[in-house]
Amino acid sequence: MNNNTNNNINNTLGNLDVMNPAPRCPVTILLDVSGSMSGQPISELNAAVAQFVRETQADEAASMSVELEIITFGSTADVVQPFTSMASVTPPAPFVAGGMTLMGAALSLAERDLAARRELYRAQGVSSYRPWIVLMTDGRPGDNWEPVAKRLRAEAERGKFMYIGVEIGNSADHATMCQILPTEPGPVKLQGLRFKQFFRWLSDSLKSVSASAVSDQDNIAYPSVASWADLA
Amino acid sequence: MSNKKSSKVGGLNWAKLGTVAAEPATRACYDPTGVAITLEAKDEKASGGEGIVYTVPGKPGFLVKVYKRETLENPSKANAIRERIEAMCENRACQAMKGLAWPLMPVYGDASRKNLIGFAMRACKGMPFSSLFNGPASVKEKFPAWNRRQLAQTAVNFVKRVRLLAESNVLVNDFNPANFWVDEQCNVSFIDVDSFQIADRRGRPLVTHTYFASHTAPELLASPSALNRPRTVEHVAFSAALVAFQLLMCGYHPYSYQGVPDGGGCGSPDENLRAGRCPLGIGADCRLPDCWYKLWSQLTGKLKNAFITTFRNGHSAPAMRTPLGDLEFALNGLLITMAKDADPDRVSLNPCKVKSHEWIQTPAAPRSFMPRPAYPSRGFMRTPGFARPPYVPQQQYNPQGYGRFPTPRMGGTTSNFNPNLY
Repeated sequence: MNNNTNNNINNTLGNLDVMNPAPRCPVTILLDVSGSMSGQPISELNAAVAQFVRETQADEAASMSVELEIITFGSTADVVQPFTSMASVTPPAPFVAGGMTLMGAALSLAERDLAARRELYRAQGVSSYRPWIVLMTDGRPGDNWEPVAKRLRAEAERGKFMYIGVEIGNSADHATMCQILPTEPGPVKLQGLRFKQFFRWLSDSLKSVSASAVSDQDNIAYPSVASWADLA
Repeated sequence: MSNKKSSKVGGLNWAKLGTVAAEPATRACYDPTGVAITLEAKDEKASGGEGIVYTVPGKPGFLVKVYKRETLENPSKANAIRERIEAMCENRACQAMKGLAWPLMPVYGDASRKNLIGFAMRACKGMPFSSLFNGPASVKEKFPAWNRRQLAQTAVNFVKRVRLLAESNVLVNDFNPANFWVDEQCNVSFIDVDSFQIADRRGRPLVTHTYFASHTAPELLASPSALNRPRTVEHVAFSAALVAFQLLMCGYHPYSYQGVPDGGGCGSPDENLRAGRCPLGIGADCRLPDCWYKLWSQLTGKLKNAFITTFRNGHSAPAMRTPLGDLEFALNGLLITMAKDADPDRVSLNPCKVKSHEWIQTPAAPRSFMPRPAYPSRGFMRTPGFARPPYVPQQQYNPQGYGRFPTPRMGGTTSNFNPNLY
């Protein structure tokens, strides 16, 4: 475990309402808040995350199924939103950009917390959809990222979770992202600063997931990414 | 970048997702008399996998469902839809049923009426069952005045509606709880009815492939081709019992298994449904969690038996499943018991304690294995004018032998008492 982590595992489990029979969909969003994100990018990102919370909460099935964790990484990797049912999430305080890009530490937190969450589901007999990990960055990792990235990538390639990587701007290290993420679907570049469009797509996708039966999650028709993804 | 390849995980493929054609913002369509109706994106009420539902300007209380371009561009799907909708529009009895979004008239994409693109229907009121299936708190939030009496009444109304439809040669097919609505007075409504199985003019079933995996009889999930088989009343009885169970249990799925035998997770309800892992009744190698067991314990013995018969014994033997009429009768029995019983736990959404068990009758010989006739000649149909046959409780069948049944008694526990049985 990387030392640049600020949270104790007991704090990251959050509450699990066992009287809610909806299958859960744990979602971990890893956000780059390094110095290069300062200015308009971080303000756009803040607005988009708040919108994502509101829009997902507005959908009843998604608000009962999705459990959200937000991890930011800059000079430190922090769990700013421990796993919480979307129905109970309040939009996080605005992120402040600064420092380097401790992506490896953030990936370690995500790996630890997802494993703990799945174990909690198993112990409590709560069924779940495949977890989602969303990684958004505009740079390259500034710490030891390879071991944890390799493990996560292997898990994702075995279909254990949905792993989405979004590159922000031209300074994102595409070659490294290709090593971090599974080959398919691979990283995708954000058009400009279209954070809101991306998070709307993410919200709509999670609504589709939570409206489906667990065994049908591979057959979900996801919405178009044309509004935010640079596929050129 | 590898985004040109297809994804093996969850069907994500960036390139493919980027090229999905958007539905037109405005649609011009025509009723059977050639009158034009303009549907705009702002009038969109709901969107599903196959179609989009619009409100109709100037026609409150009516909706139009238009199938998506992707669906209509597939000739075989388009032909099947046309045949189905035109047949449904001839069924006056179902059109007259309250709380049923039955196709009233076809809607065409051109004035020449060659190109059927959807249908008009009545709007339904209420709240989807799925909104109540997120635990007792969700029921209280949606209908603050409700307790389990209203849930039981809703279950009665739901099963009765499914039975009446089946007796009219209409079999509910897609038991997605979002397709069934209820209002505060417990009136149920069915939407998305174009997925129902109906008979054509020659009596042949028009099979649809729509299904909801966690609410479908296991034999239909056995293989992709099994879903092509015509639905039978046994399929419907299984799925209807499942929804009724969830209503009474505030959304808890009867196949939410608690065994965790392989360390690979408890499994989703649909996975457990396929495998037949059910925590109800004797012989189950797992048990309901305590919080849910309290709710289960408040049901009557006959009703528990009806569920156990369907979900355990009837899992692999469709003929064993509790018929819709019997299930309705047992649900009515619960309502009567609730009215008589002064114990507030009987109707509470959050019972404080486990009710002492109510024993069912001495297990007797299993029901005949003689399979019921399949659709469309259904043996369970009653001829109009005939009296209802007397209710015969479904006895629990134990495939392992009768020796494992405990001796019926009035109460108390013994070392071999299995609290999960009743």
